[in-house]
Amino acid sequence: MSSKEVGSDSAKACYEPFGVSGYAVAFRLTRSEPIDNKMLKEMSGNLMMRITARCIERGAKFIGHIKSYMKTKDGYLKADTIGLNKGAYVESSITEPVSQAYLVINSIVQGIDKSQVKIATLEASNEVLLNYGFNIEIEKEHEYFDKFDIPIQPKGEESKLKQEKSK
Amino acid sequence: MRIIQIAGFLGSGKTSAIISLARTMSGEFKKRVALVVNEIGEIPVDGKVVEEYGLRVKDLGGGCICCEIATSFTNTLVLLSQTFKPDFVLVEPTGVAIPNQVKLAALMAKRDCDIALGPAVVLFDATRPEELLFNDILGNIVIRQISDADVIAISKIDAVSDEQLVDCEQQVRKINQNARIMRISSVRGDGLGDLVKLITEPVEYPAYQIR
Repeated sequence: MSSKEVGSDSAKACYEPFGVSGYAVAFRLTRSEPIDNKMLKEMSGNLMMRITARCIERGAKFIGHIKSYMKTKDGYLKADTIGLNKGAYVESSITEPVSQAYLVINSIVQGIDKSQVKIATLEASNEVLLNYGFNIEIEKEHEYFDKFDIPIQPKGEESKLKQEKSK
Repeated sequence: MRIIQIAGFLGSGKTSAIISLARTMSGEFKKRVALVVNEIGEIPVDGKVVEEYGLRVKDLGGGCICCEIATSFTNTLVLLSQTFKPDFVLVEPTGVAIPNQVKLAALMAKRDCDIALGPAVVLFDATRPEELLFNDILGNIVIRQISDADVIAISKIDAVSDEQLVDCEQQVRKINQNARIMRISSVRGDGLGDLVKLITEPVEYPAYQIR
């Protein structure tokens, strides 16, 4: 068997035909006053739910996994959800109130393109994080997956386009 | 060096399971365990969470190890065998990876190091069986993952009733008649001891060849 058959680095990705889209973002968060573990847990749970809601509003048909990881000088917090009706699961070990944090969010859904996942994630993050008094700075971001990279033409449109081009 | 993958669809509880398994294997079972966590994105979440438990983890990002970055995965296995020399490598593929493809990618490392294929453990989320199996598009991935499983671990059993669990087992059994079916909860620890015993047994679980 050649290395191509087992999936070399140039092979087509396994997930491409399924319309799964993702967006990941890393934030630097700062706040004037320290905030405690209880509030951070509540905020993270709300954030997961709000991102989910925003993705559904934009047409997501299936929530794959929305998850986050927050690192602070006094511990970490992870949160995730697989849908509005499932609630958010939050696990935390932040021992002291903090005013600075590094937050990573990863949203993976199906049914909308990756630009919409990005907008939904950023809109929700702005709403929730600002509501808890955090200033937000994006450190890095990344869109991925997505069958929508290749425009899908409705039946008949393709030949119409070809005809127009040939004129 | 035995390669064991903890696979399963998005949100099925792979990261929680791999943490619990690795801790039990390295603690109670005194095994040398390395973890390889694959996320498609370049900004990891799962790998960071695993590191918080003091576990040694190699984060592979920027693509899927079953297809796009199979060669990077192979090279990682070779490097681990030469440097850390683990007894076991627990691999967490992405939630959309195809288990047999991951096995085939791992086998490429056999040219350069001594590896054995342990089982492909595929987690199946007991809290959303219909959503997963009957989704008109994504259902195909889930069914393929279950078909490829050597062990199907019905996960999150703490969150559902016994009737729901029986129903889940019946549904996955229809898809894969040969796999061992287990029940696990990473929250309560249910079934994890049995799963560790199973995956540490020196039994080879070969990949099948695609024609």
